[in-house]
Amino acid sequence: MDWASVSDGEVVRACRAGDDAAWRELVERFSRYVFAIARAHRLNEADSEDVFQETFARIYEHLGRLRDDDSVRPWIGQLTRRLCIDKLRAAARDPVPEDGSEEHGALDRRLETIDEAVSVREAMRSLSADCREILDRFFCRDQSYNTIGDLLDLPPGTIASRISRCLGKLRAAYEGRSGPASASGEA
Amino acid sequence: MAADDLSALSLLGLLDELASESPAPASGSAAAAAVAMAAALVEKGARRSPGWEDAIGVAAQARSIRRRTVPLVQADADAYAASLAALGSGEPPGPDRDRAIAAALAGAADVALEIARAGTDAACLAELVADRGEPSCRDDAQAAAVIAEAATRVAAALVAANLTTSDGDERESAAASCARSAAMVRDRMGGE
Repeated sequence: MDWASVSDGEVVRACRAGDDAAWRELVERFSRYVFAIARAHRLNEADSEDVFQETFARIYEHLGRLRDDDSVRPWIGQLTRRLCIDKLRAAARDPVPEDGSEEHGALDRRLETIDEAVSVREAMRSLSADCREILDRFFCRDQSYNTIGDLLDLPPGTIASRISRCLGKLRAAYEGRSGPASASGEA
Repeated sequence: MAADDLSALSLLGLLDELASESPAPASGSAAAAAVAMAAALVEKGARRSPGWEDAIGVAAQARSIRRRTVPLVQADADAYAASLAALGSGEPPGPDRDRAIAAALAGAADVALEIARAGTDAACLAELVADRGEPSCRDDAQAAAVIAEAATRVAAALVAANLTTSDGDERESAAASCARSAAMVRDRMGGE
């Protein structure tokens, strides 16, 4: 199955139905997100790994209690943040940032950036494979118009216009997806 | 070299480094900075063309070219310094020394090729802005194409200079192709 165009909610429903491949997809889809949140909390590698394991153990245990399948990301984000704070408190290595503090504000900004990046990645899934490829080559792999043109058998002069059109579609998809979401869909 | 990160310097600071007695930074770093400036001018033209439906996308691409080019200011200085160090290492002649020199020169060629590619991209985008952006932005776009083309030519010459001993290296032809593409863009736009 090509999971690229499958929504988060559909992956959750497949997980609940006992689809092993869906579980692998869920882990694949959110593992970087979980690690990014752990890094945003300045956890070291070992603690980040612990948080990763614990987060997915809880997801496995409690997925059935998720009320809104499409809210799985904010739910995982909240779960991960709680586990990160527990880890910081247990280690007492770094003080947990207090609400309203400068450090807390910086943490919030880091978490917002992570959520934004994940939203863009989700929006990418709604694009055609051609658009995904051309955007990935230019913006992620830093390939030049000439290089992309050679690979896709397109004149370099048309690459920039095509990228602009694909960015327009990505923007529309992103704006359609990035509306307010429930922080917790758990019952 | 005095600075650890040339891209973090003010313009005056970068110019001081370029003018210093130290061999690096030199023309490659200057070319990278010029490409970044050309990309910034392209971005400005796109941002000032709100009626053009592709403007946001073109601005994003110009910003991406700038983002990837700025680090090349330092990277080229490092690569050039490494080449000079390898050439003047004082190691006895032999295969090890030859390999070290070849690797250092190849590294410098790689950086210069990246600058050439980015320069061509900036010139292509400049042409788009000149053709489809606000007419009031055409002069800036034309200037961006001229700057980008000149920088691309410099970078292509550096690629060739670093690969003098490597006959038939495809990086040299790739860089020359970049220089030709950028020159064609400039010609179409009527740049001097």
